[in-house]
Amino acid sequence: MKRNRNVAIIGIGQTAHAGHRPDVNQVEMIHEAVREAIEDAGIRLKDIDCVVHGNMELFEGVHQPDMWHVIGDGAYGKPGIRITTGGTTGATLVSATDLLVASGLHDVVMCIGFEKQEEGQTTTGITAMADPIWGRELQTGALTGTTGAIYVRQFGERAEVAAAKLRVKAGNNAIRNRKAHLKLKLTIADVMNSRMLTWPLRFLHMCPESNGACAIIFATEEWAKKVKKPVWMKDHVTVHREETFYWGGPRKMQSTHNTAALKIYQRNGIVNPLKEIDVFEMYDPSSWWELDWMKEFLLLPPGKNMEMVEKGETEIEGAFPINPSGGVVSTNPIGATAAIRVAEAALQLRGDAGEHQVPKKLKTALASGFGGTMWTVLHLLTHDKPWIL
Amino acid sequence: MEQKAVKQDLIEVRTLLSLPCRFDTGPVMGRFLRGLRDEKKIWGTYCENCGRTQLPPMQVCANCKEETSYWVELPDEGYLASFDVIVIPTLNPLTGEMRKVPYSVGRMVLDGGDAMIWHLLDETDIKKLVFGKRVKAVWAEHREGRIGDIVHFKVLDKIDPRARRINE
Repeated sequence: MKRNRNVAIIGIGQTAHAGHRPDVNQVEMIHEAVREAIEDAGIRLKDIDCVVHGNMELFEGVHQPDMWHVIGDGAYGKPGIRITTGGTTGATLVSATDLLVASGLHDVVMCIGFEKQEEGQTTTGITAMADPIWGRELQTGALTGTTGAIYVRQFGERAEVAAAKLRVKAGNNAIRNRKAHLKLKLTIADVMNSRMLTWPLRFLHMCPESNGACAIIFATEEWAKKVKKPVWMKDHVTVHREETFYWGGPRKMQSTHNTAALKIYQRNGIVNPLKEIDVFEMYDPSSWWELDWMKEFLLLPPGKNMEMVEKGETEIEGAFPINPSGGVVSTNPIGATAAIRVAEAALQLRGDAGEHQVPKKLKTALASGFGGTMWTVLHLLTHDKPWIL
Repeated sequence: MEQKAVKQDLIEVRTLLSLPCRFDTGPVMGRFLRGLRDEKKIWGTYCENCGRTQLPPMQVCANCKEETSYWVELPDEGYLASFDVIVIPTLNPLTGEMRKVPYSVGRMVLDGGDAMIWHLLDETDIKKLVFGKRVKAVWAEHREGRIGDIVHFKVLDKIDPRARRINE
């Protein structure tokens, strides 16, 4: 792999994510994130060459919202791309924006992911994503207890406590994040007694429906010199395999997370991800998935993920912090959600995460995106300029 | 101009989006659905290269990304590989109505190979839903070439000895 140019993140903006935003329409809402990103970068709207925009259209039922949003994102008269890859939208926005700058086509590109979920029907939107002839009759949005069922079968109540502990951690972290949606002070019992959705997945394990937007500005090295604290895009990888969805059968399948992780580690010479990565912002649609996916992404031996959770190693002050922001179970404006992972990873590397800042020297961060059709995106970010060109 | 957000100006406009759709199956999925409707049979596509039988059938093997080799007739019974019992009511986008809960869906391994089928189950008691339980299709009287031609899979009170645990 060879890059034409280094790409820096020079500006980050997020709305304060919330369950209800009756005070703004979509255009006004995304404008809040755009304005914050521009101010963060210390540039002007006219400096942006291209705007990449994305969400899940069926959630609000608005086709091509980017046309309506032009007045809120400053895209008028500029080249633009619209991306909608389901849950991974935010991550694919980042990948595309990175490529637009790395390729040399544009110098400064802004991506915007958003969702105003209270305006539509999220679970119906996700169900309608399934194959129309067979799957739609069977899909229930993003709700599935399969992963949890496997853990309960293997570890019994110990697994339920571990998943609940992760949800408690997410709430504690979100309380420290001024942008987070659900800032919940929970106990393990609160989680384990919350309403059942699909066994053993409970209400509190699952991510919320949030309203919010995230804007990130990417730029060349020359532009990065003008910024106090640029952070850098080192690599990204996308893996998807919806047509081979084959869960629990006699044939072994490598998960898309595992495939993506192996690829990005190999390409970047990472041998021990637990030692060589300092912070991980993971797309965790539910606490059960955070528990399982740690193993897939970090190449952990069986049971090690359970131990790490039980010892609190993934807390902000722990040895390997995961989702200091509170993660997706705390904040989930879907089209923005995976972009927020990258934005939060970048804020951590910059040391600008505020109260949820990981209190140690951070050099490398990992951010993941996930979509319901077995689709994984991984981004590797660095504090120092990654490529000598 | 700055417009202060006052309560009487924050109006919620309600609409209902309804999209009647008509999807073409193509010849491969069409052959499969005709099997359900006219023959009460489940047909899968077999890949000689990797030995995988795919359900619903596809012209191209999802593993090998090459054309599948031939059709195979599959038995309408097998064992349960994974399941979900849904207790929260959600909207069915096919009908616009709320789904009755609880209901359950499963992935079943059909006998005589590794073909898996995703369908509804007749059992929602998680004490009775055990991985590896034998399942058998219950066919609809009136069939019209769609998923509902099989009403659901009946969960039998018997464990298949060949059932493998997922995490092994």
